[in-house]
Amino acid sequence: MRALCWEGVNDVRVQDVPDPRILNDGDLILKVRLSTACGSDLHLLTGHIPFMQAGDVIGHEFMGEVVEVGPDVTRHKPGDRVVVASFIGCGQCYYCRNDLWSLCDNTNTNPGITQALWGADPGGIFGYSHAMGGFKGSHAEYVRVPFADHNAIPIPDAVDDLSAVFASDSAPTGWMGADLGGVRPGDVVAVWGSGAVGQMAARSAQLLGAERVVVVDRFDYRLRQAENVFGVETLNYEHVDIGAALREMTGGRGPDVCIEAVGCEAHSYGPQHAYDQVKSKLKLETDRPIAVREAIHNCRKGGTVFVLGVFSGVVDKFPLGAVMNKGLTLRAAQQHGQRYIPMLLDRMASGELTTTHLATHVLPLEEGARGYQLFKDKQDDCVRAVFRP
Amino acid sequence: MNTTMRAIAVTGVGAAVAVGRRMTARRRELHRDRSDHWLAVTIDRSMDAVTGPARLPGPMGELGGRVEVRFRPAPGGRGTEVLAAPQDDDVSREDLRVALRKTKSLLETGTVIRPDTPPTTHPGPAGKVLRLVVGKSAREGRL
Repeated sequence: MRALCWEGVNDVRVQDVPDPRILNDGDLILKVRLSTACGSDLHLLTGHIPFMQAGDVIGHEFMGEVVEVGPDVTRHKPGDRVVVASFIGCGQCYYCRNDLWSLCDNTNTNPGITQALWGADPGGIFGYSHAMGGFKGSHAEYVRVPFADHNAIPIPDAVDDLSAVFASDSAPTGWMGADLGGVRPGDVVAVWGSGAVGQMAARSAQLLGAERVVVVDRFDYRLRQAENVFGVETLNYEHVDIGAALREMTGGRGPDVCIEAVGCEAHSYGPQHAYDQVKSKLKLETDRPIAVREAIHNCRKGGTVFVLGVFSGVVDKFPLGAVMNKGLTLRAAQQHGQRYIPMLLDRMASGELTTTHLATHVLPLEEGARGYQLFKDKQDDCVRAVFRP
Repeated sequence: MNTTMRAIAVTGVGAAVAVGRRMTARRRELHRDRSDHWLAVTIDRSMDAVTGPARLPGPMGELGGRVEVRFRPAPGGRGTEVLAAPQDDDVSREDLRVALRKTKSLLETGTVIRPDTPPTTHPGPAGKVLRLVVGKSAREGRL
């Protein structure tokens, strides 16, 4: 089959790879209909996450049609249209049973790497390096889905493919940030990042009752999209002093909940940006936590900061003093998609949650490399490149 | 080199050697201490479900009397803690760790998830190095 493979730093190519097959009785084989690039893939492309082999199939946010099921699969049959959570849960360990699916105990086949890095191994994920299980990704004609009864979720007829693909990761990740960030009616919520996950976090905050939602970014076209589609307020940090603006908007308090949806390659400007660039180039820090610092600094006393962006290692100048002295709650997680996806699909069906605008570029899989170029370099107002194998 | 410089150099080298020896001794002590600890895993199933059958399933059952195994209920109703230590020089802590992990998966899910194969068709030199790391990663680490 054809698949988009990581071939080296900033080098992805569509190639022939072996077809997937049923390896465990609970597996299914999915014919991929849509699979979208995700901002976290860029950390693989740029080599920030160094556990890739040439020939690895990337992609983890996808939907499609079931073509084959293992003998233990009871909830799906060939022909079903499903969306698949990007993190693989077994559904039966302590973490899955407590709706903390990305922390699954039983799905990372290479646990030693992340145990050494982080002290414990999270669950496996499709197409996201050998540190996360080495599972083949979804930018392919077919993909194997383990523990399919738990990880593949039927799509209601009222939800079209292009809406549903974002229920795989962007929408549940964004919802999780607002939900576990504790957004309540009347809150002011600030979101750093107006990509797909940031926009989903902003919309989720609205749906959970936030009175004001402010999105921060530097790309006007993305901020305009968030404004136009969801009616949020926006701030461009290249033109506005974010701290002063947020204090003015919140009567001097600061936002109740700050959601970081940027990740380990955050951009900034001035001395802070230069400092982090030098430190990361010298490998003295692995990640650039600029948006996290800003979120912590600007959050109101006693507020909550939720880190949604992907980080891999260690950071420098982490403002622990602000966290402690302002009494902040700091939370973070990879997405617990299975917990939210059915509810989000219902909201998509009812029209509450719009996602198709995120798919600014729908391309054949054969144009995968071009899609990532558009996405990475923010060319042609790209928000997401979505591939159709 | 004058006498003062020579004295500083000798002192510096001596200090570095002393620090290095101390660090090495500390590492050895930690390694010995680590080997003294039991390996442990928590299975999200009741004591009855874990200890009911005549022996543990899968790799732990196959190890049989070559390992000593203890059970205790996890606090807060979080299942059963299984602790194990090799009783036979042929059983490494790494093998035991893998056995515990697979047995936990068998008891919780009825299976052990298999990695996608082949991992890639053309890993390249860097990928081959990574394969060595990955091969080792299944064996070492924390439970």
